[in-house]
Amino acid sequence: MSHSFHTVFPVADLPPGASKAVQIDGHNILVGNSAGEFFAVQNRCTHQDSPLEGGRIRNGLIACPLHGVMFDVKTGCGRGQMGRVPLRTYALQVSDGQIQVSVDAPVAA
Amino acid sequence: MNERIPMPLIPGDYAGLPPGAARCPGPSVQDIVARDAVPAPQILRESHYEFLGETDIDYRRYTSREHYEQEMTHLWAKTWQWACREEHIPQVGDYYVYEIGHHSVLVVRTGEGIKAYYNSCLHRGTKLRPEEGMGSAQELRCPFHGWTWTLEGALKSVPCAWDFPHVKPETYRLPELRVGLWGGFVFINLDENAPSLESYLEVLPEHFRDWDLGQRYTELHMGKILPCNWKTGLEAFIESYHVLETHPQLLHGTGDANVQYDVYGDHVTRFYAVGGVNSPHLDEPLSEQALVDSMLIGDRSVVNDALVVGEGETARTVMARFLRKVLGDKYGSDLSGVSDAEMIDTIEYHLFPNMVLFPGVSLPMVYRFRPLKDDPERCLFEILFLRPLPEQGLPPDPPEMVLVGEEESYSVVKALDPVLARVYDQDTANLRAQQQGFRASKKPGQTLGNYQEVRIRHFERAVDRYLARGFSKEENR
Repeated sequence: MSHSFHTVFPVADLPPGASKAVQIDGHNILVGNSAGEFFAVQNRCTHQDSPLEGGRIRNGLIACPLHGVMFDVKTGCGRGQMGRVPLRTYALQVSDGQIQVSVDAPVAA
Repeated sequence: MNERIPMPLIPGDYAGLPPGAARCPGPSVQDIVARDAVPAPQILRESHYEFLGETDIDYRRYTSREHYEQEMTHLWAKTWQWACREEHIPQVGDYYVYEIGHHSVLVVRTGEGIKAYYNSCLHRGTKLRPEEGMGSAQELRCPFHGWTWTLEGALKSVPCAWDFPHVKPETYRLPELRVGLWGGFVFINLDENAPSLESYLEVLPEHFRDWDLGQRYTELHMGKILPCNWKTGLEAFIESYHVLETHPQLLHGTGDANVQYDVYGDHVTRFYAVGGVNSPHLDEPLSEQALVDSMLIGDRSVVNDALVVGEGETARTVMARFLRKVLGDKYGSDLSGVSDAEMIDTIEYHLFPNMVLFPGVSLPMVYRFRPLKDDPERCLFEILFLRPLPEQGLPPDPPEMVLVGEEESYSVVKALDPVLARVYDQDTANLRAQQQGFRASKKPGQTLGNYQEVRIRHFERAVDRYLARGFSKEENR
């Protein structure tokens, strides 16, 4: 079965520490750069539903701008009492300098 | 360098000396350092011991809830403690939550510099940031009802403000604690009337003038919960007497029994253990070449074959020269002016109450021992490795703390040299037995060596002084 990858941004638009939200097939997805590695997670904190866009990214963790709950951008796992529900993560690939995200492809472990 | 030295096995003899005057036979630290190729700084060419008594130290200090609560009130709420490193909060909005017992402090990098707040909402008390450690935010918003403060501590918004006519913004600023900076560490003090950090540090700034820990970054941060009182844990790391029994593998290349112990003022002590010499306890001392071969502790990733002791050289000279080169290359730092002693010796300072720091380059640790919530018989032991900042480029992000399980070996930490992991395993393996032994004992207290364990006595004396000050204030009320 083939999965559809959607081109979202050029790699150059997303320097380390940056994140941008994008809508794909009704999914609100945050695409970000964690120290040179790209990731895609749901753009809604599982704690109190705030968008994660613009949260500080450090050590592979993104901090929710609202209350500071932190999530591992690779696994989606949250930290502490307020991060008990993980974020959904999405498959991402880079092709010809373009970041591509899929809402149906399995996420590599 | 040392010869096998006969020592008595049975104690009880002052041998005509005043108490505290006896030393291990054989060359002293000062004898050894005086012969170094690249000489040690003046601060290492001095000794500063003082006999502080020889009575036992009561075990109830480590087990009783009453003593623990007195420490919370009269010690932890009165002393300067380092909360985090400056690199933990590099940008405006970055914060670090530091906890000590039930105290919780929010250290924030703001547009007006670093500030520290009591980590509790002024509405109904919820911790503004519930998790310990690093985080980041552009405002401080309580997760319960959404009361929000600016990073600078001003009340910014309250949902349904119409219901709070009695809440005046000028009286609802976040209460601040005192903050002090030294050596890249952010210190806090819960006592608004405490003396300045500068005076609290006593001789430390002078001793560290050429060891600027502000020019280091945190490479590794490990934590382990220990089944013992915080003082039990700390005291296992401020004497070198235990090396003989606990770390026999280290006797080659460590002058364990002729370690120098120094005490200063109320808050600072140090020990100074020379490397590259034989323990006076070894039956068969090693050759200078064999000493070099045995010294490869701390950073095995840098070892190669260029470690041959030449004619007329000592193991110390060769090892220092070697480490200067490889560690300088690895961390992109110029270490050519660093003395043999600073390269290879173990120099350890204790700053009261709970900070232990090593200025050396090859073993660049900082330890911290913290009581945990309300349990006198558990503590958190943290180890940080501080490496020299690269001369070019940015250091990596400060790492999250790796928590080693209570029953786990330090070898689970991949970034830690296995030789050091074994040492920390051996150290921490004694502590449950010791804490439980405090309770099992018929004898009511511990007996200390007059020289090698003087830092423990100095430390406990400082604890007593803080508690006594607290009592006298209570009586004067």
